Amino acid sequence: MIQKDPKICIIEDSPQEREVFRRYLLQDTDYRYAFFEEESGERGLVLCRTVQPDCILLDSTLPDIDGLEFLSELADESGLVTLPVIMLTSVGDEAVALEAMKRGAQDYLVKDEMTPGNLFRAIHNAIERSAMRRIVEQQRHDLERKNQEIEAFAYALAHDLRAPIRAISSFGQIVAQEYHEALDDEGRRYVDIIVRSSLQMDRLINELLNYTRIEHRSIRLRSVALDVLLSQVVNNLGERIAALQAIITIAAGLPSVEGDATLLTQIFTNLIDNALTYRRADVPVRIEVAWHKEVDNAIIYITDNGIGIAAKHYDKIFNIFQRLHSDEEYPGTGIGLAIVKKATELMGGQIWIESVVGERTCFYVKLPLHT
Amino acid sequence: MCLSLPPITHLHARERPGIMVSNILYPLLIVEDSDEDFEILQWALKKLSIKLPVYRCRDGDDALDFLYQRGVYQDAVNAPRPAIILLDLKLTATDGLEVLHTIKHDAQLKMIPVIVWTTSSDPKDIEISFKQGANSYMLKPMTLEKLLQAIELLNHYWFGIAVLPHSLET
Repeated sequence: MIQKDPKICIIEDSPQEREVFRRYLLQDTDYRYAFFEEESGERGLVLCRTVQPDCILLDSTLPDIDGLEFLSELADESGLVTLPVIMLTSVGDEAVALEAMKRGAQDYLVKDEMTPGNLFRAIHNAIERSAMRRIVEQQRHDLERKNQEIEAFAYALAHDLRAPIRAISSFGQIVAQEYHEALDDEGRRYVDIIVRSSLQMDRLINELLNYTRIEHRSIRLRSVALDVLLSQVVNNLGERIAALQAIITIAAGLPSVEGDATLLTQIFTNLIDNALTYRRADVPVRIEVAWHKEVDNAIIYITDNGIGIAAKHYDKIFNIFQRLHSDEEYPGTGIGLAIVKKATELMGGQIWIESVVGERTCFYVKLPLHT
Repeated sequence: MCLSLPPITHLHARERPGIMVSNILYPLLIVEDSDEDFEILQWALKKLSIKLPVYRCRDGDDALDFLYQRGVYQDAVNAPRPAIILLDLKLTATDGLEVLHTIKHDAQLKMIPVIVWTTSSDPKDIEISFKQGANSYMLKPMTLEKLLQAIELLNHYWFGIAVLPHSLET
């Protein structure tokens, strides 16, 4: 992306010196430059902002504002000077040159030591930097567009794909319920399969949406009382817990963490839901939530007495769509733990696991304590 | 005026008088672009023996025409002021949020309770809907059981417990 005619802004009050720079640069065989010139700092700033040059040659002493002030003015809101500036100083002005570099100038040249050679070198560097900056800018722009596309895609998933699935499932259920007598055993079984599959597909889409949404929503970090949150989560899962006659023990005095309530709800809902799903058939489900303090962090652990996970799968289970069991054995989408991991990391936390196959699984969630 | 209602779980479809508190029939406006979703709603109302006059608009512009009694709804008989609006968010052309915004910025229409009835569990949609003055936000249930439960509760709450504007006039 080398530019054909690089634009150079010369901000210099002496017409003779501007003439010298121009004459030098006309000898450059690599580029044919387009020159823009101003004598004062204020007008120079306006010029640079309009032209967006590939390089600025800036005299350190101008009649109105000096070169350093010029640099500060040129910086954007975040204090960054995005246009490449070469500061032109006089002999003995090393302090000014140093300060200029600190404030974001790309390079400096001492006027009396200037030769066409070192001027070309400095300008070629600046042009390269400009080109690089434009590439980065372009990529950032592309990325933003791609993100918007993903959001639009998620939106389509949410509405357009779910609508027909809901119709299939609803009318399937109506047939199963209202036309029960009209069907024989085989017919009833087929309708049940239609209903079950469509409900599974809806769950899958829903979780996929949750997963994509996590990254696109702004996170609100604030103090969240885990005891309140956990009792809400358990309450929401009440039906399943009651049906399984599961025993859930939540330790007294769970702390407040610095986190996002929505993400935390997703984390603990998924973990407790998993503990209810991956249970052993021969023992009543027991789930324990407890915690301990580690420096400024809370480590919350959720232990179950379920089927356990082999150590070689510890990392794998957090991958999206990764499943260790068939849907017939244990229903699931393979998205839940990917959401849990992503949500934990977005809050600056960590998650890991310890398990004994056929005995128990323990998930550890480390989160910053609210201070 | 006041009808004592047995606990909702003990209501059987056949015994229910249609939870009508008076002789006024409350018109229900359903703004829904999907024919299937509308048919399922109708099925649920029938199943629960809820005899509300139901009006349906297919998109946002249609709904606004209905509410302002203009276009094909110039004859007010075909477009009575609804007691409740069930509003889908994702509609073609003028979407549900725009309809909601218009309703809640109109001195007369803003009195009508609007229940957002949608598939979107996006926190952004929930927040915007309530900010725009939605009176409730409900997710379209996936199972018939939950659907019947939701419609029954809606009916019970809005026509049995809540007092609606103008409902006490005779």
